[in-house]
Amino acid sequence: MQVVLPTGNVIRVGHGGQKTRSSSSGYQLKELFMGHQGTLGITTEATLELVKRPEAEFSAFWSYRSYEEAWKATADFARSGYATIAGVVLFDEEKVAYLRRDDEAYIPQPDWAKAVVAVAMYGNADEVRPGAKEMMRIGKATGGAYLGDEISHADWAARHDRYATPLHGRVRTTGQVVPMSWHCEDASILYSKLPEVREQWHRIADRIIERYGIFDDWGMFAYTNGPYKPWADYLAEIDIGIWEQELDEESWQGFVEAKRYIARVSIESGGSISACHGSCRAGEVDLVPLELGGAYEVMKTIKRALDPNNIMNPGKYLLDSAYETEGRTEEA
Amino acid sequence: MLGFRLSAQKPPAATRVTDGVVTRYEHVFEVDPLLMTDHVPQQELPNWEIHRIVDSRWEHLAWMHDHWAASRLSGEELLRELDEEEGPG
Repeated sequence: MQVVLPTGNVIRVGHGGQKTRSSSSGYQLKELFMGHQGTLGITTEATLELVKRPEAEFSAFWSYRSYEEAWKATADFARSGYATIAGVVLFDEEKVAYLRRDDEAYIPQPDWAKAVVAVAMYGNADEVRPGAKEMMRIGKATGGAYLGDEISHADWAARHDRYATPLHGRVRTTGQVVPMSWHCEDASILYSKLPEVREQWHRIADRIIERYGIFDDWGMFAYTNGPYKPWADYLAEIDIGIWEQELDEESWQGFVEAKRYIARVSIESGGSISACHGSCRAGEVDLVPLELGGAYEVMKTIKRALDPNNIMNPGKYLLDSAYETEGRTEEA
Repeated sequence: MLGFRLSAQKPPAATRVTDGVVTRYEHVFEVDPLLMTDHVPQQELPNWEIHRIVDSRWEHLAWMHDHWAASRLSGEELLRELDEEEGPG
């Protein structure tokens, strides 16, 4: 990438030359300029790697009688060792209940179907097919019920366009439909900690729903974090609906406090506040120093060194504190 | 000659599927209109509009798949193979 620094200097970061992907020369600075939320510079050029479209896709959705069964099955799929596994997705009981409200793939499912696991594989057909067959064997062996090709193919495609759908939630007391915006709290959670984090997150959501009546719990997903490396940690998210027309200062502060609790649960479980969205929104951002510890001080040192006048996205990630001396912000 | 008649576009009566969902066409579901009275009134759609939305949706999903891979494997076919290999259980 070519990056313009806050001082006006133009640098190139990446692995060695412009088009090589691997280099052990010097510090690996590329990652520093990804996810910095506009605090360190402006990227003016990027060289992208293009990947050939795979020959074959396999997506399979399985329903399970409980979250625990589905959680255990997720591990069996993810640890099967097949290099063509792009990802495994675990839907919890609240997510399936939410989808039963108006999602054509889940409304027809039998009552006993409480949780769902999806597996996706990509690659050459003669690599994917044997792996896919093993996934079907694992699905059967773990007590899953295959949702069929139509739902498995269509829902996998539909997973990627929900961002564009109009969103609505329900008022808990009446069940009435209301327009709501979607707030996804994402975290990086260890596989072994998913069940307890899930319970704590839903309890937090429950408290603000009961107290303010304008929030809705849309359930949780857990996605394997590393594409083609589906083990260890998961991108876990709890989706919360907010009836913004009714949102006032008190309920907004209640939501921000809930986000702080959600972030704290993630950190205390040994995870990270965010797997992909960044952790710089109200509430969660307060806990970034707690998660990073001494590394947060290094962040501040880097910020001061690259942006001595604090002109790049000031205030982001609480980095104004990098310029404070004895409790006062230095004049630029 | 009869042209377009709006009266002929009225969807059939709804059948209940679950507590909060009704249906008028196979595989096409609607939130129970009784849940859409206080804050978000449900719109009335003519038949052609319902079918257009459903058809467009399938077309869109096929377009999405086409971006990711040249072909799709069938889980149902693989499951049949497994069942045959394992024999009657």
